[in-house]
Amino acid sequence: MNKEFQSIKSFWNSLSLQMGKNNIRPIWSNRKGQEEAVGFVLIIIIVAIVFLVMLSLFLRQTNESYEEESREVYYYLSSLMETTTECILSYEPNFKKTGESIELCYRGFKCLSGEDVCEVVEKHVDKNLKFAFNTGEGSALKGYEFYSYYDNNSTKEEILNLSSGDCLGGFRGAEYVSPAFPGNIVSRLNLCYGD
Amino acid sequence: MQIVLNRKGQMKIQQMAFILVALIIFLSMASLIYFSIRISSLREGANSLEERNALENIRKIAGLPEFSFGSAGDCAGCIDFDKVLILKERKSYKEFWDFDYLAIEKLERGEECSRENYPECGKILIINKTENFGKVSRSFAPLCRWENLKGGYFKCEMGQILASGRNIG
Repeated sequence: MNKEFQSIKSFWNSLSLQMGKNNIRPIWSNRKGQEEAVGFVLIIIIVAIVFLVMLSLFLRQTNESYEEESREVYYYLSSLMETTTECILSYEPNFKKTGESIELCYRGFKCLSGEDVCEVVEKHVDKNLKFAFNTGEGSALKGYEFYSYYDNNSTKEEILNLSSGDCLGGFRGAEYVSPAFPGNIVSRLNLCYGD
Repeated sequence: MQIVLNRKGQMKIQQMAFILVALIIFLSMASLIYFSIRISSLREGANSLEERNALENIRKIAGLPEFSFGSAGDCAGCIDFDKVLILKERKSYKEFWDFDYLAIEKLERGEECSRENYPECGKILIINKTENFGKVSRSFAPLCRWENLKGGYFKCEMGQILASGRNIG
């Protein structure tokens, strides 16, 4: 085995001397260059993979749109529906709750004072939203939108629509559903927290 | 000739060492950024869970018999504001619940309630054990009371429960 190796080595040495005369380089000098190139490419691939992973993580973090169902908002809505409005129906002191008034507004009723139920309930909801949520400059809350609609699975009819500030970015919101035969009245509140 | 060969070898070793050091620095920086992002998202998750827990605990207060309003049909989560005013005057209740701070407040703010100014007031402070009660959590709840006008009726207004303590979270 050793003898064979020696003979091969002497053969290549003589060959390389001859090649040197003709300015031809031996095979193993090419291999070294190839190895370095492969190492360099490997390093570049590793760096590129790590860079891509980091970039994808960062982009996923920033692009997540903030849309969340919030219990706090749901509790606000359910509380709001229980509050008493200024609308008296039929006799004194039959003051109607907000939830009932929204349904009466949809059905086109008028309060005992002659005012439209929709106007009264809109004023009531607007006042309560303003007390609960400060929007605008310096506040984390950029705006809110409140809307109610009647839904009977085939049609949707808007009842109330109130908003304040900007609602361009993400939001936290909740829905409150109350029965209004043959459909339901859905009220939704979204609190908007900027971009 | 021998010296030149040695220098070449040294250069190769140096190159290799530099590349290894650079790779290790790069990978450690990448893993640092990765873990900082992961930890911040975990922290956000923990905070939102804590907030949700606090909210649920406060909602339980509205269901307690000392607070709940049951006079006018079904009103889940409504607080009897008249009852709370009486509760405020009872000293035995100061130590009854494990809260550092407990107050019921109308959203239409006003001064603290007493028998003299009730119901034209905004807040009933039930417990205030210490000046430094930490973070106060809140939950919305309708506040209902008997209104004597127009023959008398139950009037419900928007309010909130404010509480702080070990049990709140």
